[in-house]
Parts: sequence; C-alpha cells; structure tokens
Amino acid sequence: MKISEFSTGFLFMLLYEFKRVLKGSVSSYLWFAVLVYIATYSLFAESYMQSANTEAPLITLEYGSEAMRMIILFFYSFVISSAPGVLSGDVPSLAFPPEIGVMFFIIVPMILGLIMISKFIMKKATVIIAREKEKKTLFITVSSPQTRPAIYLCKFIAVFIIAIPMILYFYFITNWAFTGLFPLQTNLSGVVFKTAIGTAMLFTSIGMLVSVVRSTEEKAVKFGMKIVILMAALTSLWIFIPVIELILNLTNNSTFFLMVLEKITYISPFTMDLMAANHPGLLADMFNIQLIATVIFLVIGIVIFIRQDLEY
Amino acid sequence: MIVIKNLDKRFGKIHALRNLNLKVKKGTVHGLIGPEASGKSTVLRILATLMRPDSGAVTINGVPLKKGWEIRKLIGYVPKTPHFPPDSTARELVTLAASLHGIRDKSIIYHIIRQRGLESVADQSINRYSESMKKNVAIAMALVHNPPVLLIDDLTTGLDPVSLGSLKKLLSSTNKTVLITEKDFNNIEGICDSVTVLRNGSTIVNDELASIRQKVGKIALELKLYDVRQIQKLIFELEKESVKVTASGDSVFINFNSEAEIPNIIRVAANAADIKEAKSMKITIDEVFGTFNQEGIR
Repeated sequence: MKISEFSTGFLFMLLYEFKRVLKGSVSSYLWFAVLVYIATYSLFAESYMQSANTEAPLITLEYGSEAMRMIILFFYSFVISSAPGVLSGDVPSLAFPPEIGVMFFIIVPMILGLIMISKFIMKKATVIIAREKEKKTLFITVSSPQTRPAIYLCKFIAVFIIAIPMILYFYFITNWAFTGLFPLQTNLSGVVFKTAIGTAMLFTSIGMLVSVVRSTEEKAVKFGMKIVILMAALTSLWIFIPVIELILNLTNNSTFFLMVLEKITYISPFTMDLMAANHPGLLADMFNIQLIATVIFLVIGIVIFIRQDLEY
Repeated sequence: MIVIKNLDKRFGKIHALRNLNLKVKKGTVHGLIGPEASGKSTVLRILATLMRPDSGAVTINGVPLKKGWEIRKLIGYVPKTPHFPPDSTARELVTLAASLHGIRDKSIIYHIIRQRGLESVADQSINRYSESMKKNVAIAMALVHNPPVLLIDDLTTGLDPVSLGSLKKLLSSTNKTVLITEKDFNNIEGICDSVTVLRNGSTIVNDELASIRQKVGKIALELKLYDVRQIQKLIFELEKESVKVTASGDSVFINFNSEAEIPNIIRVAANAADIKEAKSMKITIDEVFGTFNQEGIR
C-alpha cells in the first residue's frame, strides 16, 4: 500500500473516530464551562463584598443560636479577610492576600477543572475500544489495511482532540481570573494549559489501556472512573497532609509515616499538577513525567491490542 | 491462492483448530463445512488477521500472514453477523471501507451499493436495516476494493433468498478466490468447487462436493406419485434396474450407485407411473461424519 493511500485511510479513520467520540460531548462541555466559571467567579466575591453594604447583617435568622452565628461569621470573615485583622477585632478589610487567592484558585477551580477534564477523557477513552469489542464493530477497521497501532493511535488522537476545547476554555478562564484578580501575581494560565494537556494525554492513554484489557464497556468505564477517583483522593490527601501533621504534632504522635504517604500521593497526576502550579519551576519536569508515562501506557496498550484475538 | 499448513489454535482449554491443512486454488470457491464450534469461523478470522494462530503457516497469494496489512489489502472479509455503529448509514460505511483502502472514487462506492441492492436505503440509519440488508452492507464493504480473495463467514445466515441468489450468481461468475463457511451442505450446492468438512477443529474430509456425495452414498431421489396404486408397479420396474427402492406414503425413494444412472431411472419411472414431483435427497453433516468416521480421516 502506498503511503498516500495509507495516510488517506488514516485521516478518514481519524475523522470517523472523531465524529463518533464527539457524539454526546456537548453536555459535558456545558457542565465543564458552567462549573469552572462558577468556581473561578467565586474568587471575585471580594469585589462583591467591597461594593456590598457591609452594615447589613449577614445572618438575620433569629432562631439561629448566637454561638453558631458567631462561628459562621468568624470563618466567613477569616476566609475573605486577612487573618490578623479578624483576630484583632478590626473591621474586616474584605480583601484576602493575593497569595491566598492564588491558592484558592489552585485548590478549587484548577483542581475541579483538571478532575472534570480527566473524568470526561477517561470515560471517552475507556469506551472507545471496549464498546467496539462488545458491540463487535471493530472488524470494520481491524480487517482493513490500516495496522492495529495506527487504529489505536487514531483513537488516542480522536479522544485527545475532544478535550482540546475544555483545555482552551480552562486556559482563557484562568487568564481572565489572573488579569482581573491577581494582576501582580504570576499568571498561571500557561501552567494550567500545560498541566491540563499533560493530564489529558496521560488519562487518555490510561483509559485506552483499560479499554483494551476490559471486555465490556460497563466494566471499562467503571474501572476508569475508579482510577480517576483514586487519583483525586490521593491529591486530596496530599492537600490535607499539613493538617494531619498539625494534628499529630499537637497530640505528640509520630509524623514519620506522613513522608511515605506524601510520596505515595505523588503518583496522582493531579498532585503533580498542583505541585507545578505552586512551583512553576517544576512544570517542565512534571510535564515530562506525564509525557513519559503516557508513552509507556500507550505502548503497553498497543502491544496488548496487537496480540488480542477479536471475535465476530 | 490460500495455503494453510498445520494450523493450530487454542482458546484456553478449548482446542479450536488441530493441525489444519487446507489449499484453496486461485479463482475457485471453497466451502468450509461443519457444525457449530467446529472451527470454521476461527479459520476465517485467522485469515482476516483478527486472530493469531498458535502455530502453523498461512499464506494468501504467497503473502505470509505476518504481513498483516498486505494480507488485509488482498482480502474482503464478511463476518457471520455483521454489527455496525448505530446511526451510521450504508453509504457512510462503504465510504469508510473504501477510504481505509485509500479509495476516494465515489463512482466505485455508488456502483457497489447499487450492486448489493442498497441504493434506496443507502442514506438511512442502519438501525432500520434488516439482517439481510446489514449482511449486504458487509458484503459491499468487503468488495469495495475489489479484493482477489473473499472470505465469507456463514454464507446463508441473515441473507434473504433474493440477496443470496445474487451473491451465488456473483460467486459463480467471479474469478476471485473465495472461502466460505456454512453449516449445511445443501446451501453450497452449485457454488463450491471443493469443500473441507471440519469437526472439533480437525479435517474430516477435503474433496469435491460431488465426490463426497457419492462416498456418502446419498445420490437419491424422492418421487411423489399422483396415484398411490401405481407404487407397486413402479417399484417392480425400478428393481429390474438394480437400484435400491423404498416406499413411504405416496413417495418412492431411490438410491443410486452413480449419478450416471439418474437419466435412465427417471425415464423408467416416468413410463411406469404418473410422477407428481421429483426432488433430490439432501445430504446431512451427520451422514458425512458417519461415512468418513468409518473410513478414517482422509
């Protein structure tokens, strides 16, 4: 077969896969856009509060207990104000330090966006081969002159392309947040873009590997979702490690195991992403790790796919 | 030309193919006959590179199976029960199959869709297609690149009589090397030049269909009479010709030793009685197994 014939076939197959993967993605795009927008926009609450009438009571329910009302007010003020101001009893400035604002951005909209992209990608990737094996439609491409590695790569590219609108939206909304809220801080939009690309690639390759080894669509999706949840849980653990350490120190318990625990949480791509956001100097290394992992999973998936018997 | 040497395939504990040898001459139609789970579909899936053999050598037109993409360029594969992505249309699928072979000429796609009788439904969702229409789509996809070798799994499954008729006509007039699988001997009558009978992944017999029929001894006719009272006379006249005759109801069953006797026997029967209907007796796979098990695997 000539190269031109092969590439024509490959491009047509890519278009075919892309069309199929795109189906049913619109609702996911909308959810992503709305939730990331809300999460990011909530950071602008400071601007709201500055323009709001601070004389008006924030909690007016008379049957609420006085103590609980004070606790809520304290935490609310603490979150949106500088801590010393609140603790000294000054009128809250209603402005949190930009460093904390950036941290809020990292642990809320950024992690939310990355998890949503990963969940979306994982579902698409886990379905792409398992569904065809289950529905027995894979013979269309597999019995054509296209090679199995080409078919696998084609599906990988199609799934990855589907995530691009989300990644771009994520980039622009990050840029909007940083130019509007924290103009003096390092703009993380570039970091967000690169980490989202790396994470999307990695989850696509993991999802496709799951898709190849699982026999049905349902099993593949369930397994894929478990992986995303596990990774998100590891990152949550990573975020809360300082709190655990504080509690352990206060209670005079050993914190040695936390070092091991922290290293385990590095397995999660989300942890890598957060570390890169906290220390942009790590970005290149984290991206390279994700890229290498993507290639490894991709190669394993292709080898299994090549050796797999397909029944019709 | 398809050459299979010592092909072996296992699925866990199941030994699907045992040391299978097969040769299909160029431009001929060969039938793989056997009951369910005899391994015939596995042979086709291996040839279509959907499965990998455990051992053995396979070549198609001299190209070894290891050169998968070259093999797939040579073959057109029709699965037993084709499944397609929902909401796709025949035109989309045939266009996809053509594009995967690097073909962009729309006239070829149009021609093959028309040839398989799908013209009027080509742009309708495949969900609304009958089984026969789906099989026709699979055949169109297999033929779109005009392959020299055609592999059809379970020829008659899903096909309506009209589509089957047109396919049989196509197969009998083509110069392609064709390998088809089928459960029933009688469905391949007039199509196959030669057959291989499989059981439990082993070859029971590999020969021409007429020769197998002769060996089974099932060259037989059933004659139905208008008048039952003529049966005794008919049996008397036929027994003079040294053929074995039995009667049941208004029918007489005649077994021949060779096909050459048939014209004479029919002439004798027509003179002795008023024949309402004459039909050839069907050969069953069990009869083939019975015959060739006694004689040993050939």
